[in-house]
Amino acid sequence: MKNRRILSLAALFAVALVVVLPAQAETKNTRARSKQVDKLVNKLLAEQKLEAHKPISDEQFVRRIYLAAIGRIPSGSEAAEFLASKDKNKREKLIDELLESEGYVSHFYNYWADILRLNTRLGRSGNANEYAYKHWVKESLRSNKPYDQFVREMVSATGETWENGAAGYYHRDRGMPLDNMANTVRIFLGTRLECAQCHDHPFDKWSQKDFFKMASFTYGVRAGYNRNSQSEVRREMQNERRKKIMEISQRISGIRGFYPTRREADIDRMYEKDDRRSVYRRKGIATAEEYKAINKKVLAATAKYDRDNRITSQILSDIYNPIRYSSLTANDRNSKLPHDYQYDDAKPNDEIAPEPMFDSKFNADGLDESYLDTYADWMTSTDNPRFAQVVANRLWKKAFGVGLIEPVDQITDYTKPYNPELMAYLEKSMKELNFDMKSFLAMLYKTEAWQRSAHAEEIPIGKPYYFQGPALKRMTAEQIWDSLSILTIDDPDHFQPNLGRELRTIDGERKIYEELSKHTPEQFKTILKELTAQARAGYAKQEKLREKYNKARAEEDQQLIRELGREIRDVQRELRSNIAKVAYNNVGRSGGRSMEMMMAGAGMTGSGERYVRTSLPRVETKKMPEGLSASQRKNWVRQQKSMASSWSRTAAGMARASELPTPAPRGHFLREFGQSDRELIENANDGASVPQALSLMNGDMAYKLMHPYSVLGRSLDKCDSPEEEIRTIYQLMLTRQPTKAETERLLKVYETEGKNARRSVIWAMLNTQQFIFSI
Amino acid sequence: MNLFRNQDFTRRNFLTTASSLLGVSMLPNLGGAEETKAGIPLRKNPAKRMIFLYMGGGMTHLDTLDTKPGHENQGPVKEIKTNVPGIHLSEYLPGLSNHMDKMCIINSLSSTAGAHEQGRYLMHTSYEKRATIKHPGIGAYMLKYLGKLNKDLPGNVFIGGNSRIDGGAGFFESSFEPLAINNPESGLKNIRAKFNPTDFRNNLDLAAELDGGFRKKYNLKATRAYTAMYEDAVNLMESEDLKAFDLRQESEATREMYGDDAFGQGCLLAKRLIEHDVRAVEVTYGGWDTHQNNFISVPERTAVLDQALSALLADLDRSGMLEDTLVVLSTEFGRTPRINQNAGRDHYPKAFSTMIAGGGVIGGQKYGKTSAGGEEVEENMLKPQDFNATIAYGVGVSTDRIVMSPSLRPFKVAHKGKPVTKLFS
Repeated sequence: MKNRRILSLAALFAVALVVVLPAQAETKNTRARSKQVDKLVNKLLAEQKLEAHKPISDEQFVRRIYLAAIGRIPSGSEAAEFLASKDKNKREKLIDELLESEGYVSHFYNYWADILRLNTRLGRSGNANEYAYKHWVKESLRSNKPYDQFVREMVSATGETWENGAAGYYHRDRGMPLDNMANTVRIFLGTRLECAQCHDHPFDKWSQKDFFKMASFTYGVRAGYNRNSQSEVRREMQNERRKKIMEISQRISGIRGFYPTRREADIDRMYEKDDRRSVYRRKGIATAEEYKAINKKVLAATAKYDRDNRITSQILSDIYNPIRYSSLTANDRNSKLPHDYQYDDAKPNDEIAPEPMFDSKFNADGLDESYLDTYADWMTSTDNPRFAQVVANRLWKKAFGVGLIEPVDQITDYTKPYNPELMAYLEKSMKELNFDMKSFLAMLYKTEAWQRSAHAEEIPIGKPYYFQGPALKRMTAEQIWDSLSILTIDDPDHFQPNLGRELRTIDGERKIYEELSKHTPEQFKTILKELTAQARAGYAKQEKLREKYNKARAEEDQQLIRELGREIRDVQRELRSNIAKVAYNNVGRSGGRSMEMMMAGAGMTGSGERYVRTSLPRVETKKMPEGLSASQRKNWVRQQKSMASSWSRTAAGMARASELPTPAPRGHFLREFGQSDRELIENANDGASVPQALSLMNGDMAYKLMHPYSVLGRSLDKCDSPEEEIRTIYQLMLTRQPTKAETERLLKVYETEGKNARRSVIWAMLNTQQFIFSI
Repeated sequence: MNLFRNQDFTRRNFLTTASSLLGVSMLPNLGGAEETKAGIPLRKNPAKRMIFLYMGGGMTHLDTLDTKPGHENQGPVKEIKTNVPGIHLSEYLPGLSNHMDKMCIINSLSSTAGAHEQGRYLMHTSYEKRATIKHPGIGAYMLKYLGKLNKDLPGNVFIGGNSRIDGGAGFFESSFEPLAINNPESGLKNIRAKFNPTDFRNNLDLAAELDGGFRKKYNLKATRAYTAMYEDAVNLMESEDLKAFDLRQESEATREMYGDDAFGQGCLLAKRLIEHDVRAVEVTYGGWDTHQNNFISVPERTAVLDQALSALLADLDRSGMLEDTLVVLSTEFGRTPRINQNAGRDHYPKAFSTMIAGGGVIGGQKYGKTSAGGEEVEENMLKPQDFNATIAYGVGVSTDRIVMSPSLRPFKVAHKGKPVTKLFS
């Protein structure tokens, strides 16, 4: 622990809503619940005359539970510790322990991020909204926020990004409130409503009007910083200039109320039309040509003011650009039916009052809460017929590989679960456990049903499955990656190399916001004036350079063209950086706040003391071999140094998937193995594709694993014999002992290849299916 | 290389389960029930392949394909003559002026999507970007409707550094996703073994042997797909067709002709892939978002585009490939005709220009017209859907055929777009 940066997190962040903490007794009670689940599974198996699969061994169990609860295989010591324990309740204890660990946060973050399409690489305003959302989701998992509260906070989210990361739920679908509604209903109510967005649902009961009733609940959600006071300043400045323009144009044109236009086409239109307004605007000027001539003169004389107005507008938008979307507001605003609405129950463009899809008694007139709160309460209520069922089924599927209802999000009134009694019981348990996801998962993992051998036969899509055992699944992309991570670096579960950058991004927006809020309107006006003057000077400078540039182009002086191009761009850059300096003192970029403060600010409180590391512990350097000459020693040291420095880069890249920007870039190992692109709900994919094989066979993963500084490499360096190496590779990579036949086969490799045997064996193991399938 | 040894039983399993070759399916949609009913008849001799060049950021129309000499909107850019009398291009495109006879410039695109993400999506898929569905691009439709030309290579390739691909497989099976190549110079990733051939073979056998028990016990579609995947990967590593991805096979002179930059080399790679009967290749080139200093940034972009596209047209023409290869130049929108206070141009979807060439396109023409200042479309307005329908028509993809998404919603390649059939001979 010496090298770890220990951050104790006091609960500085007050949660607005009352947290109903699941009672400890309730968690323990899951034992009875597990028994009941087993009873219901076994009952149906008996009815179907099917035999349950055999219980799994401790070796199989430890691998399976690590993958299921924390998303990676166990390390050598973790597995050894469990296997050596004589405790009768060691399985239950391990389940509880893992669900309390940081690995759970990482793994279930990946799970929810796929469902929520959480994308930290959207590239919009520095991704602060997305980072805040990410850390809010992780913190919710860490503190085991009850699922209903988790959802309620998302669907009722408003406020500034740095104060409420849950707002990321709406930011994700910015500008698409209708799509957002379809997504919400699909994710949390397991119901497909998107067809009804454009017409009555062809295969379900929902009408297009039903859709718009739901849409009205969230139609008034908007992303954008409220900058009324600044708009006033701008309006005032523009009015001043407008007055000036009026004065000048009246003087030059000699006509009262003459105001110039920049669009000559408007003038033509004015003369084509013969209505009163046109006549009034012509003001006695006989022809369009005459009008244009006057207009031109006036434009020239007022150009300066007009230009200043445009410059000020642009500066204003540049100032607010970094926090343009950091605030989420909600107004009670009804949606309107589309202009081509085709049914008789309403007219096109009709305003539609909100009404929930599953509640006939609802009355919008009697609302004493906002639309958004009403909607959130309704959504997450235990009376909502699908809310608890959907999450119970999802988590069952997460544990067993197949849902009791498939697909999990296409539920209709006619949907029949494979095991209705069990589904009902799970739903009831979800409610009785107060939506405590960890307890619910513990209940599932502690069943005999879950601790049985994986099903070795095809489970056809659409055919009922009775759960003789969990389904065999290829690990998710993140599970494979995180398993490689534990084979490569120490304690990856607490390693968050990007945390500082992410928190600084969020914090930077907060600081800009606070700094801008300090200005009085008068100060703000001065700032705008100063920046406008600077811009004007900069543009003048650019204008001169451009003349030179055009001349250089005409003369095809390539070098001068490049130089002048650079100079012109430099002016632009300087103007831009001045804005940040003058308007908010560059605070967005400065550091200043401690990691602890930023974490607390992002709502990362945690329960009890937790720690994160932003750097990896130093790997013990190797002992120098004896009997080297002086020059050999120098060489050896140099070699070690370069190896260590290249290793630190490699190792940092092996942080767990949840700690890397997500989705990983196209072509990354994670994406090749089917990590979701986060464009569509649950878009991860576990199918085979040739780049996966190419990556495992010819990519650098095998080399990372066998690197002398990797976890696996270091363990192997401690081995004294080929047998021990073989055993170590099996224990670390497959969480089991090699069979006698396997040992004999591999010993032959050692005999023929000698020193190179290790890399052949690791390579081969990495390219087995046993390694990537979770049995 | 033949990926499917005919006698091999795994092949069938492989086809029905994994369809995994480089993420691209081998078979066209054999079960397509909905056929073209009425509507536009398919072209008799459509182009077989497509090279789709995408100018990311929004290419200015005034300074490239739709010059307005003498108008104040034009700024300092002059126009030059082309090899087609009466048709002019921007002085920024001297190379292309020699290929005007091959090109049909469309000056009348008009869209309502004025933001990059939305515009890019619309121009690639003909649908508005939604958060509930992803639509396929034309390349994916070509594969879905027409199948592959070369069974051994991926049918759809994307070249460029973008992190997101619009117009990929969309809601089609993930096997229709284009193979993405970031850097044309490095070609296919992870294609070379790090062992000598004997060791490589031995180690492969070793892995299979160690896995024997597992594969026997869990003999499922999902595991068999992984067995097949390795066979395919090894076949690909040994394939003759791999040289399609290798730019070193080209002479120095050819490589220079396309330009010493990622886009030029991407175009050259596109040409090589097309020669090896890859159906559709997209090459993207970004940096067209010239809000500032338009007249400094644009000539830098056009220099690269002009060289690469000229080389590509000349090269395809010389080899005769241009006859059945449709070359498309597309972008998300044009740029404001009026020059802004930063000597730049902003987003302008109302009127912009694109280009098609080859594949039976009647060259030497401009289609559509904008107003004197380039602000409004005055003749033959084309919506992005119409433009894409025209491309689809050009490559023989039915614009009337309806395909159902997995959520059972009906879609068409170009939405409600109508092709301009008269642009083709």
